[in-house]
Amino acid sequence: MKLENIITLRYLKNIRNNNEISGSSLIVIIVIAVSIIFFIASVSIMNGYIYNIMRIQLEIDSYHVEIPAYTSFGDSAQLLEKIMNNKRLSNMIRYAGLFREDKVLLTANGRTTGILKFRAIPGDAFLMDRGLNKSLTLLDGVKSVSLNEIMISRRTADKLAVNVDDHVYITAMASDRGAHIILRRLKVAGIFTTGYAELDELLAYISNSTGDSLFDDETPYSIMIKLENFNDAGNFAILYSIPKVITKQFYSDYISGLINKNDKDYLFARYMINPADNSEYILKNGLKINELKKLYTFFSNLGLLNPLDRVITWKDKNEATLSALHFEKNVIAFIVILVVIVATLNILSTIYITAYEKRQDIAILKSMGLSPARVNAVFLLNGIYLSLIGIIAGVFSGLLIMMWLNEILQFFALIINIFLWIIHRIETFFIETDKFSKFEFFSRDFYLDKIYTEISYIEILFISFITLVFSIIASLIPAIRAGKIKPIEVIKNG
Amino acid sequence: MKNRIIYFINKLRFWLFVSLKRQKGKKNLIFISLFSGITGGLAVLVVVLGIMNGLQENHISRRIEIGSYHIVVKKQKFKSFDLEEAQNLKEKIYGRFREIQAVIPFSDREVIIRSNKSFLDELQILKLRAVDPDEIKKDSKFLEYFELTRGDLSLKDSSIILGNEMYNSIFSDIGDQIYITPDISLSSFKLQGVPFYIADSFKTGSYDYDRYWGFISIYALKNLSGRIDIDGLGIKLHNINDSSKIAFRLKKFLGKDYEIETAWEMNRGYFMALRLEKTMIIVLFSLIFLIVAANTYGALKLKILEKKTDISILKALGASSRDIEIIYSVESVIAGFLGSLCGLALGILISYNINNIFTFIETIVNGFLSLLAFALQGLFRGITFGKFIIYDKSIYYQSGFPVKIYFPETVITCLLITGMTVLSSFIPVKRTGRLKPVEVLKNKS
Repeated sequence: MKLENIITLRYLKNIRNNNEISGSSLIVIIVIAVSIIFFIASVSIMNGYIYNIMRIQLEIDSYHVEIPAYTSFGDSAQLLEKIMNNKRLSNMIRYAGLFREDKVLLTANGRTTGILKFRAIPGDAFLMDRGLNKSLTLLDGVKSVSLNEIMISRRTADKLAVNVDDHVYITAMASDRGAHIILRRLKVAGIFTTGYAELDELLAYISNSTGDSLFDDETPYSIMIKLENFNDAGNFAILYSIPKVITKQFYSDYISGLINKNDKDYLFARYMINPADNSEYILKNGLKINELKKLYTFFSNLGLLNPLDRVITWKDKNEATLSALHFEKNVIAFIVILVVIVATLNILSTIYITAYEKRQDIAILKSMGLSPARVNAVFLLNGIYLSLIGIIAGVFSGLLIMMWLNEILQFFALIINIFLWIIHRIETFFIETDKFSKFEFFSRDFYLDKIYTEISYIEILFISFITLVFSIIASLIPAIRAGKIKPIEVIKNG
Repeated sequence: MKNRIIYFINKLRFWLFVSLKRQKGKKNLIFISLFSGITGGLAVLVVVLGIMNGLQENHISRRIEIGSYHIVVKKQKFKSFDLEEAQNLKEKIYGRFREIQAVIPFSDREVIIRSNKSFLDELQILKLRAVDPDEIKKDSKFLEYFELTRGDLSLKDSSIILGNEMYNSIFSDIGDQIYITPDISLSSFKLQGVPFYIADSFKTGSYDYDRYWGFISIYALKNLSGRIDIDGLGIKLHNINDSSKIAFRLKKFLGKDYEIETAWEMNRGYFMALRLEKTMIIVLFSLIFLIVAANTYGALKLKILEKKTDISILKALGASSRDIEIIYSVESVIAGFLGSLCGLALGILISYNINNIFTFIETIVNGFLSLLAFALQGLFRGITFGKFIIYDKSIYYQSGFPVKIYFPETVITCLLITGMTVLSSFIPVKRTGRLKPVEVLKNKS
């Protein structure tokens, strides 16, 4: 392999001496690099978008886990205490609190806007819940809600033309027959943004104490839970809803008849304890999450889980959005992978050209005893080196571009704007035109506040691998043909 | 003159003879790769653009025809009209412009509604638009997109029409009572929600309107706010393309007291965002063609390298550099144009049958999967595969792909792409001019 390597490296070093080879090699490298940059850009931008939308959704909108309650403050508080007393559950929890949500109208300066997620949260939520605190950017005022104060988003504030310390009116509707109207005047304590324009429009916060004076008892309190690790939400749901105690009566009435004896005895022997008084089964301590999962599927297959014990995880809530976004990402990635594959096929003609130009060298090498297989290896290596150069160039410049993406786009937007402004100035000499409006790559009204990128190294590795495989396939055909050169003919005829 | 024509025909015969002669015997790599590249790429581009236009058009048309009118006349500084002012202005505009189909006094509110159903306790927020019930019937485009369940668009003083998504989500029936929050103002001070009766439900096909909008009569505002304030006059034209012209004339006609905006001006941000998405897609696809062009370049270069001797002989026999250029680029030009024609035709064919094609593929894949599951029953008991769905209707609001192909846009894109690809084949051909026949023939390299 050493000899082939030396020959290939020599070809690559002397590439400049031959116009034909250098031209097409350069094009191959550029084309591969550009398509890889493109792949990295599109995948990272989509990933960043998905990741940040989800981050905002699960920190601000849906929490990690929500336990919808159907009852009053007292009952919900009791339930929360029960959860916090359960060691296994409370170990996973970083923050938990009671909140409720309603829909209200805000009015100020003669303008009215609807708030779909008008939330009453604990007064200390911003202090205690680090995730919420981090995701919610304060633009003006303070990040806390005390009695008769409200926090609204920048968009809502702009719509109502209010500022910090101004007052807004709240109109809510009670649930009695005839729909009693509730009207209250609140002071704007702070103005925030989540970074996601669509969510900003929906949100406003008041404290639970304000909420108590505003809503009647019929708007129920739910429990919001933030976990140490949001990926544990599914496990939390399993732990929460698995029945801890099963009475003997329940066992004989429902479970024993439903499944065959072996499975049942096995499951119960492993996961449940039958204490001395023999009246009930109790969940074993220290069960691993996998074992609990088995038990959970067992119970849910039998339909024995209490629907009121269900929790809503952020995955349940955002499933539709998440799968739609993933679908879009996959479509884009698929198109770009096709582009990358077509780009690697460029290697085919380049190796052909190299082999054609070097046919005299090959003839000499072969006549000196180099086997056809080793000649093949030379050109295969040539293809691999070319694609490696392209891959490395593409990955590095792709990563660099991703690092400065927002700045680069701003720069281009600036250039375009200067250009447009000049055109606009020239236009105004001749005709009456509207005011100059700035060009923006991504309108803030419809996307996130800037372009987030999330580089996934696995995907970069994957595309590099694909490129390499296809470049090997592409260089195989010309490499084999190069091995078939007949030395005597080439040396005789040139 | 005659001689020149004969000369030209002879030349043409020479070009075609030599260039076509080359294609016999060996596989024609360049022709196949260029042709298939352009055909495939263009077909996909046409389909994607068609779907994208269709989806965008769906939103844009509803936004203009239902949400924002063609032109809106408002008073300066958010002041509102009273009923008499609005009527006078309406008559004035009708009297002056013949291009106008309808002038609709309207007023927008955001309100909370609550269903009267005892088991349902939920509040909903609604964008309530009060419109003149007589004028709205003149608006043909509005009526086209506004599908009513019962088909009766006569708004009475306490009746409301809800979008069908909202209608379903509050489990209502026609004739049900709902409560609406009144305005906060002294003249309308009320402690109770104002009862309205659901007269009908509508479907526009755009989720935003179907879920969050409701329509009442402008006279019903008296119940909500104590008096009738009109935000503005929405003007619908017979032909929407006239809107900027008419808006300009309206500005002159009405003077500076009024603010006049066209649909485009009102939705500038939204339309710009849509346009940007389309531009992104076109750029993404241009990359494919750039790479097809690079492939053509490489292949043609290789070909010329291999035919160096042939070219030298032709040159030695008296063919000019231009002859050689034409001979070697004829096939890529033919491939380019044939490819773009086929791609265009294929793309249009696919886009107009996209729903059928998707159903077809889904049926085949699902059939195959169920067969596979059946075959594997012996190995894995109870094995099933999930259903394969290309376009999940439960996630997206539209039940199918509305496809719209804009002819000029498509043709311009096609021409640009074909031009780019064909041009790339000229670069290696141009080099043949530098070839020195004597040297090549002497050294054979």
